[in-house]
Amino acid sequence: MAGQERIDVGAVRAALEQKQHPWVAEENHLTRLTSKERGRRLGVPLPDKAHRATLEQRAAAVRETVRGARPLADVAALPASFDLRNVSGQNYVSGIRDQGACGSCVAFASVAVMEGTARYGPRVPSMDIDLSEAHLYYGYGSTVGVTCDTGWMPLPALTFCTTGGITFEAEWPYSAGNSNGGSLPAGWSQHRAKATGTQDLTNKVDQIKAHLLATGPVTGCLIVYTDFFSYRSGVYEQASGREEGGHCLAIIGYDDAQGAWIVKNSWGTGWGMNGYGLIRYGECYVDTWSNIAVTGATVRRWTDAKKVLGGYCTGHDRNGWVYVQDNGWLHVGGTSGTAHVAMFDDLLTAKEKSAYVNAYSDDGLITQTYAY
Amino acid sequence: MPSSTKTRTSRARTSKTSASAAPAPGKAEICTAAGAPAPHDLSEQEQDLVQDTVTDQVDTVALDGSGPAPTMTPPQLGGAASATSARAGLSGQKVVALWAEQSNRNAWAHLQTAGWKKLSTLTDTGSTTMTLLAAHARATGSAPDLAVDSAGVIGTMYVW
Repeated sequence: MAGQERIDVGAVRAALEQKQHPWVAEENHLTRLTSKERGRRLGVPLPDKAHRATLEQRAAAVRETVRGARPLADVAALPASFDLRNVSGQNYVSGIRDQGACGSCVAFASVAVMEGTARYGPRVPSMDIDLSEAHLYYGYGSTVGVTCDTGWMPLPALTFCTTGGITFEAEWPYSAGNSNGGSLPAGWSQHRAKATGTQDLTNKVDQIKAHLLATGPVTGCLIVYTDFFSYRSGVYEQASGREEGGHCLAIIGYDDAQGAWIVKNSWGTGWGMNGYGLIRYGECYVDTWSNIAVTGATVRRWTDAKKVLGGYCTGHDRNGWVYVQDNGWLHVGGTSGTAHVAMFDDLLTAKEKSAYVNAYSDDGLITQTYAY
Repeated sequence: MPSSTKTRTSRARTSKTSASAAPAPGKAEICTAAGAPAPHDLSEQEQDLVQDTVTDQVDTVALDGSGPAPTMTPPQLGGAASATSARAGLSGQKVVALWAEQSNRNAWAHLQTAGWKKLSTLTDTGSTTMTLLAAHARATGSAPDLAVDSAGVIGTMYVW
């Protein structure tokens, strides 16, 4: 299966049989690609020799610790499993995307972190948030020499999300290689999401789990071997194939019973379990190589027509809040007490009438509101 | 003529009558800030007015701890009422009457069984927004989630 050949799924299955079938391989749109085409889906520069030795050392330690699907000793307080797609029946993970023939996986994993955190932070699973991978990759990335061929790393990508923020997919839709000629529209900064900070959780398995539970997804970089492209279900561990490149995806949960991370990939719904997969702890450096998260994510935009579902206040100065449908709690702003009271009153009146409002939320602070 | 208009007129007449006497604390737990008057207990006549105008709504209520940012989720979205700081005697009570007078930050809400409770006096806007929110609870028949301080003053209010 080397060179320009397509993947021989039969050979992958034979290798899996020798390992008692830890996962299932299947033909998909990726196995029919040539090696060169597959390589276009991999966008994390491979580590140099010294770094690789470090990564291997870390991964070996993780594998040793969790061998036999035992939970880590120091995470006894954490639940045995967690999945952001099903937190008390609520799904906080945005839809599966397809990066196509461009090594932009870092942008997709980073945006998955942003979208998941924006939803899970305020616990609003219905939040409509589809951010622009194109802005992150072709916009910010191009300022530091990133192209489809160079690949990138999640820390600088999420740092751009923190310092400048990224706009919405509707403003700059993604296409592989930016073939649609998209660009950043004027005024984009009035409609964008922004991270409150980055957090490096690399090689901290327990902290990755804790972050998933408290805040949202985490990126994971891994070495991709040929058989990974044919993954269909089960817990992935390398069984065969050669090293094809570096890749980045989003970790969205874990399952100690299976000894695996639950990951969201960016190769469309034809890969894995409708785009999702399970990767064994310590496998291919997934939990020891650039595990980056954000501490929070806020959104600046109009809410569009929504209803007010709750009101809240304390006696503190200008501390009125409203719970806006699909947006969660928004703090009512106001440069003066009068302005604050006026907006709060308008929003409560709309709530009383079950009428729609359209409020401009500037990172969670309402600065303008229409009530209909 | 809508009954609400009639009720409003009746209540105004009642308040005017009681205002002729010095406002005095009633049976309910009442907290007065430095010299500011407090509302009188609701008379039987006033209780009748209250019962005429409070509509039934969802009674999923408990109390939440204080703090500058909200933490509870609307019950209609499956939000669990916070039990950590629930205060017996205030849960699930609708606002049945409101009272305010010309002193600064001196607005009160009458809860169904707990009686008159003073709204926060911390700041001007805090007092005003809480008055608005209490009035909203009164108008919609909602039972707010409340947190009161040790003096019995309402410091935090959620209305769904």
